[in-house]
Amino acid sequence: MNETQTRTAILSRLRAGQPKGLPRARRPLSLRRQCLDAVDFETFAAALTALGPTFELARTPDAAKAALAAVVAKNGVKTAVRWDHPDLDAVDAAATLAGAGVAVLAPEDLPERVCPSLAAVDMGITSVAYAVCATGSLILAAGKGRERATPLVPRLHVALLPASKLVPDLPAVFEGLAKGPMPSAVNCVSGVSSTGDIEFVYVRGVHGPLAVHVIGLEWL
Amino acid sequence: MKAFLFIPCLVEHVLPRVGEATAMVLSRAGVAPELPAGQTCCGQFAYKRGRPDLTRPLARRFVEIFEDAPVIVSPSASCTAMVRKYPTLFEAGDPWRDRAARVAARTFELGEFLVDKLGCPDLGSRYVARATLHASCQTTRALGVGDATEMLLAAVEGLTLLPLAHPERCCGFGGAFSVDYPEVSQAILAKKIDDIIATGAEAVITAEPSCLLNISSALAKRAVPVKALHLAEVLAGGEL
Amino acid sequence: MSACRHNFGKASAAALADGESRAILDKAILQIHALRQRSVDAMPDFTDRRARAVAVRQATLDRLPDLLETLEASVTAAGGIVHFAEDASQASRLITDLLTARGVRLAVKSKSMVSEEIGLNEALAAAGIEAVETDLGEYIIQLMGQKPSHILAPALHVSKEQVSALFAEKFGRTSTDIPEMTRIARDSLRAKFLAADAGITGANIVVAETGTVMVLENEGNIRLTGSCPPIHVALMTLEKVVGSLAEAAAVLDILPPSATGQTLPVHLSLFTGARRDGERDGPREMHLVILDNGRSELLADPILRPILKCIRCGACLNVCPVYQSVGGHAYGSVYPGPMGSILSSVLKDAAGDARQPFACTHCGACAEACPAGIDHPVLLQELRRRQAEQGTDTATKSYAALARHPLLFGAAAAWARTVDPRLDRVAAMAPDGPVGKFLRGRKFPGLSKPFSRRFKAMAKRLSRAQAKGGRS
Repeated sequence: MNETQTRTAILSRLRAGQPKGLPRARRPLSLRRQCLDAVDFETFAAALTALGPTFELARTPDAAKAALAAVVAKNGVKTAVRWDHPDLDAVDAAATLAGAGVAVLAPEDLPERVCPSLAAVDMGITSVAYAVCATGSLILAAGKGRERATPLVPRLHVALLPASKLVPDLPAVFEGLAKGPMPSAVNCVSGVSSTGDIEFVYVRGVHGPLAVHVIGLEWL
Repeated sequence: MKAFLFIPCLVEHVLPRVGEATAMVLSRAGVAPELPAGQTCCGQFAYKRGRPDLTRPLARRFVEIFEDAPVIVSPSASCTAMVRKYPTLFEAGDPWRDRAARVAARTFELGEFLVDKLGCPDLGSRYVARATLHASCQTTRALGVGDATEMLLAAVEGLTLLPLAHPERCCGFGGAFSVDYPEVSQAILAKKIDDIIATGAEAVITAEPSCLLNISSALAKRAVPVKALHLAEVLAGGEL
Repeated sequence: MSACRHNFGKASAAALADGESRAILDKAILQIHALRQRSVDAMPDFTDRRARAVAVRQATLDRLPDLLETLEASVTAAGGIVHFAEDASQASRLITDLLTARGVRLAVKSKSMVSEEIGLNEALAAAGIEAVETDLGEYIIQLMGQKPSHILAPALHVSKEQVSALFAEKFGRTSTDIPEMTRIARDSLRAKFLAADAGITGANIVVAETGTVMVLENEGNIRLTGSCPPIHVALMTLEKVVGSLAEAAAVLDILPPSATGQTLPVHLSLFTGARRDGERDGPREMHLVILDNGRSELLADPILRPILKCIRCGACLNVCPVYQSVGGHAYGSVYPGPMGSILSSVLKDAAGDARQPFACTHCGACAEACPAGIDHPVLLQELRRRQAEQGTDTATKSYAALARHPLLFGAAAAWARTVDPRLDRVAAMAPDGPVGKFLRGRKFPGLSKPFSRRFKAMAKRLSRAQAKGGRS
């Protein structure tokens, strides 16, 4: 059997096997659970930091630049890779990093195989599509100038989080995503990667970044 | 009020004291127990071995024996649950289906009957012991009457109930399972016995005869001085 | 598959005899069970969440062919390629051919029970493709040359000393410190992620309207597998589909709490098609393989159909007294525990013991724990019935025959009471027979004078009790 025949055979078996009886009511199922969580930096930061990442709230662009420079200094960052994103421009991320002595890769500098090229890079800096207050999750959406590898391969991930991107819960993220075309990859990241695969002992930092730092942008 | 006793074969031949205690407890609750003749086995054994065909004639016998009963009471949740499944053994339209349904609707596990039907969770019983409860899966999950067992025991004077670890865990009997997979059955049972011993109780109570047999025979094999009692025996107190 | 079928009885007895593995297993299962219980108890709305998830899973079964066609269109529109596979051999051949044609030498794989079901690793190895498991537990198992023992935590049964020895042998670098061992594995796997020509993942939930494959994990290996290599192959079974993102959210409300006790795992990845124009990374090719392997026939089965609602959370394994005692390997099948005993009985070319549905105490803990609303004991009972129809169970037949005749039934009991009341003789004659084995850990209290012959003698006592205790 070729693939088309297989497809037809499977689908027709499924049609024949569908539960019989009266057609079910077409009334859409009410799926939305009640949301009880507050939408503010305090709630988000509490959930986030419980999972391992660190958080700092910047009230002005200058405060954000200072926060970024401080992260770089604290973590001994020599090289970084960034997204093309208005939120990064809002804090002059490229210039701030260069000013701090960091060599910054822009998306257009990246070669054909992006992941291997970032293996030795210290930091990836991105914005977020959403941030979930209930679970401290960062929602990263891939796109042009927004490589999947940037927040994934370097040892440190720094995310800029404008206040306007805060949402209460995951269903709110999905409601937002359902409005537009789906990006090729959306990653919902809650904390730092972990495992319990050896004797159920919890270990933080398996793959991906070993540290995540979020800078809240209160004015955006 | 009269109640017909539905005595599981295990109680009839191995644990008759449970039957005696059941009769006594019903009497104390103001109910006159009657024992209809001709009872054998409800067919649960065959049913769980995948033989509803062999169970069907036993269901018909049961319906004939108990059809005139005002109410039917059994000291076993698993046998009660079997009777409740009887109607499903017959096709829709088969008169036996309705007859079985009528009998099933009047069949109750002892604790369920006392609490839910009679509204009598306190029989004024007295049993002085430090004990723990093995809440049998058949009583709690299959029949959903675990609350009745707990209410009845809470009202017994002199009885101290000690919490059992992993109360939701099965004791490993499972009918034919215990013979088909003896190693697994005994491994599960051993954990239960360890948990029972760890409570420091002098007695373990259960409302299910099959768990009672399983647990008491393991306690006996290990020569552990913990008594295994049926709910009815505790409720009957010292009056046997 | 081997012509000689697996024997659960023997395998479980052997598993029970292995004290070391059992101790590790005991501890791990209690821990995973406690995590789940704590998280479910902490969710005041868990009952509502479960009701919504059950409705979503039911809605999938009610419109499965439509959903698959919608999914196919959405994935294609997002630049992905959809393949249907009838059975295990077709699916693994399809993937192997696809990768071979593209010159793939090294593939990274994330944990996928479906890939175990189709024997993908063996097929890839036969085609000369190195397939590396990247989930830490699965990687350990692969290095050891074993099979997973739990659908979520495949190396649940392995001790840290065993892992330490394994790493020393394979990497020439080891430790007995678990975080340090994890770093060793990270370094070794990172090289594979960066060099791989293809990434193979499973799928936890697949959204028809958007063509999105959702995968859940804590380690980050799936995110790397789906992001770095130039080809991504996602493998799903056809019942994993749901209609919309909102429906997926309803399943996500219960899946991580039931599986690992988390509200959300560290990584939830949504992969939709291949990389788009202008994007510099992500797979250039994305293939979605939809496997049937007996499931379409299951949809037509009114009693067994509900097993298709299973979301593979593992909750039924962790509460099952049999699984708790013997672990996953004894099942000899990809899917162990209650859900596995059902699936292995109905899937095409599933290994395992044909009598597996009988290896159950009917305690009902699985159905109570199941967030998808599957009543496993009912399904297992039906499988027993279908098995028994073909068998000749003389013991059951004779017992049932006796029970139809009260006089014979009573006489048989009386005879046994006289001859061998404690079953000692039966056990002595056949110590390895059913009764002999039953009595190894038990002392049978013995057959007694029947209750029916004692009841009449109770009349006076009963009426006294009734007069004294009877309520007005």
